Amino acid sequence: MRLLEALERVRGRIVDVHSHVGSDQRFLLDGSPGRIVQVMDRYGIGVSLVSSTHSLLADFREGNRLALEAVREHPGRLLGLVAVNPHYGEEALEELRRYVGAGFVGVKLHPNYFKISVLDELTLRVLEEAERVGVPAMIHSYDGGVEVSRLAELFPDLTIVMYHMGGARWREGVERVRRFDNVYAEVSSSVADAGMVEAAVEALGYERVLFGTDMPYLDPAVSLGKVLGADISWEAKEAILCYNAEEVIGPRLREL
Amino acid sequence: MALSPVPPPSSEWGSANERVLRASRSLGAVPVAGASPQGLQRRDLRLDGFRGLRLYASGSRVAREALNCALSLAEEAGLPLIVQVRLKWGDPMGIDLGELCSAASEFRGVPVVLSGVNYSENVELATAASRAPNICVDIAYHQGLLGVEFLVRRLGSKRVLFGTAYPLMYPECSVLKVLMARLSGSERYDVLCGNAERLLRLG
Repeated sequence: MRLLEALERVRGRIVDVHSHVGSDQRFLLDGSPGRIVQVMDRYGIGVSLVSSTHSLLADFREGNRLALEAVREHPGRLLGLVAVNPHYGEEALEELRRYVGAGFVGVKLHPNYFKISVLDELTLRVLEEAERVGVPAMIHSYDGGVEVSRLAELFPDLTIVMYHMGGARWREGVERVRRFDNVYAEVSSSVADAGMVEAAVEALGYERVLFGTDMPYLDPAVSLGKVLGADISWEAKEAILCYNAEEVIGPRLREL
Repeated sequence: MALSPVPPPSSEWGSANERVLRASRSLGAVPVAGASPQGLQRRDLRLDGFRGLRLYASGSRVAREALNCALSLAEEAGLPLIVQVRLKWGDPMGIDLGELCSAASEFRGVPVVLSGVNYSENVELATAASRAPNICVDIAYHQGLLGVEFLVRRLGSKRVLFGTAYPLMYPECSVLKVLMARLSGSERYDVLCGNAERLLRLG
């Protein structure tokens, strides 16, 4: 099937589990909510899960406020992920509870930006809270899945999404989390090595592979090209692009 | 399709380039010779039959002398110089883009194609546009949001080239980047084929 024809078949049904609102002037990238939704329309992405770049780069609380504003501006298109900096202890936990209460569907952790290990006592408290309130943890992973696999052992009942599949070490990433049914691999990253989606599907089964874009850093063409270009069945491609996210997010997606 | 060797062990560039020539003939592809910075300084590179020279500048630091050497070789042979600043994701870039621009600006008759740049180099690319008008960019590794539009607006459509890094990477990513970009018909033509035809002297 031709590429654009394939994209047309899933138009409007694609769920992007990894995106951001907010710009990053270090790279001249514009990620205003309006721009993100415009790009979603262009590629046929129905729903994106967003945290704010502001949460990563400046202030997680202000970032969450901006993400909430974006979600309210674009109902049915954007769903919120609450980003918390574990160094803030109880305040971070309170933030998590508040935004999950407001309808956010997951917690976003970026240990590198916050200069903390996901295995640090403070991070573990955040993850315990995520498990308690029943939302998945989306974790930036560029270390070949080392930290995510340790977490998966500690939290067998918490749904964990390994963002970037472990980065340039994606092969190690998917192998490390192979045995943990509670871990999903998300395909976005600049890394577009041929064979990476096939390897994830082989290791985890297509049901545990998720589509994400990492806007505004990356263009959706990158992740779409990986999934649509992979040598896997159409059923697998459609599940990765459109259906698997529901297993992670739950009925909120059906309500949109 | 322009074909270059995947970097071989250091002593085998000659035979790797020979294989590229042979494969290009049978595939109808355009042969581009590959060279390491160290190999260039030995000056034993044969460029007969090639349409371009690709300098692999990924991983370890490339000295200005090696850059100048590559530029002067390309100038003598009348070929474009493709500088591969990143090959494997996670490897450091072996070249400072400011220094490359400065070197390229001294060889304005040599088209210099940056290959391997990503959105993380957007600011440098925007600056390069004005400093060295002979610098072009290949989109294969530029994964940034609306990256093709960014490059076309900043550098002009005559300086942006289509590339896929196939078979190392999924070619569908680059195809979608260009097909989904908001470009005029002539801009898209430039990116997809016009520029490569001109630089590699095809047709």
